[in-house]
Amino acid sequence: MKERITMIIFILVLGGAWATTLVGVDRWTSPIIKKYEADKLRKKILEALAISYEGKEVEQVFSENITSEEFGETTIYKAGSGSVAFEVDGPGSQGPIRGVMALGPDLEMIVGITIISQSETPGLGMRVLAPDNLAKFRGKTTAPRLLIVPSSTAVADNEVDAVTGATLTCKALESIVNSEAKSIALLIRGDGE
Amino acid sequence: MSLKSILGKKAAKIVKSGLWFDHPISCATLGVCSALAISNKVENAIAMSLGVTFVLVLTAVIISSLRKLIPSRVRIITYMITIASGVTIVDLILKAFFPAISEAMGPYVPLIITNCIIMGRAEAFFLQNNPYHSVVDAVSNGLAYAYTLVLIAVIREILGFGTLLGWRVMPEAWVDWVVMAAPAGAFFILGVFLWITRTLADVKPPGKG
Repeated sequence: MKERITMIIFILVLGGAWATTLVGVDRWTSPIIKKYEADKLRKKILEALAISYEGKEVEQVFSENITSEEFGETTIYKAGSGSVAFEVDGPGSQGPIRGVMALGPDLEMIVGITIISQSETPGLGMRVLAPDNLAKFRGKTTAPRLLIVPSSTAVADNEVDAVTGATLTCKALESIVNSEAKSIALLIRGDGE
Repeated sequence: MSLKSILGKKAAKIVKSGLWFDHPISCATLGVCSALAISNKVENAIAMSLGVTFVLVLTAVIISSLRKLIPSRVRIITYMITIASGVTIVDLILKAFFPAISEAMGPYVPLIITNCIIMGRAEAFFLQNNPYHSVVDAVSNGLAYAYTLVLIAVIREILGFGTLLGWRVMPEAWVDWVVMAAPAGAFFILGVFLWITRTLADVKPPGKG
């Protein structure tokens, strides 16, 4: 009996000591982590809208250039140019893809796409989501539908070259871009109700 | 000055066995999961090794100091609480101060908890030895894990990305070996590593010793 009580007291004391330490570390780090995450989203929004924040405080550039507006659960970030940015997400080939997409005032032309998090295959799917590849989407239109076509065959305004060997990621990105563009247009214009 | 005169006879022996004769990855085949997953870039390998070594040392200090108090029936729970708390601290600190590394390592930071090197050393060594020898053992095993990871990562990063610590080292015409960037590449390199080190250290397969 005495042995059991010592055992329970030992575990409780050890657990309590660690719990206190962890609460302390969490108190110390959580504001820094929150600030980093908020800044990261702001950077991605500015990048998608092609607004430079080089060498400046991100928070300041953001508040000077962007107004945000709530549509239900979705937040729309508007730039002075009339372009809008919003968070997008969808399934990739290995895991969820999260990012920010910016559309022109017509809600059809892509201004930019940036990625917040993804877990595609290094060297294959990751190349699709690399900034230099995403730059190819700039100026393309999502009307009637954006298409990712086999490498070096993109001609029309709604066609973008695929990355060879990364078909699944290309398909995933294509469907995210199209479905998110449609739903945002519905949300802002309020039609289709 | 020899290792023996600086650390003492027993500690010198511990260092040699941790770094080479009882190498955690090549001899005990522990910690292989993270060695395969995190060795695609040198930067990540260094961060992972530092994380594992920190948790190892922390566990060594706590388990070996408490070794006479820990009731033997709850010793595994004691290791788990200690290791899990250490890993959570590492995870929070990486997220707050080194967010880029934290993102690159993804779920593998919390998975340090399941790294068998730490559990294995706690059960096999820290519980029977004093804090000084335990810390020496923890550092040796951490270093052994680190040099293996970095070695594999150097080969994988050069062949798979054409870079070393992010700097381009291969000519522009170099075609990246995608297999090296993917987990499969780690299996090849680790296999070759085990083959070479086991031959050099003369490790006998079980049952034939």
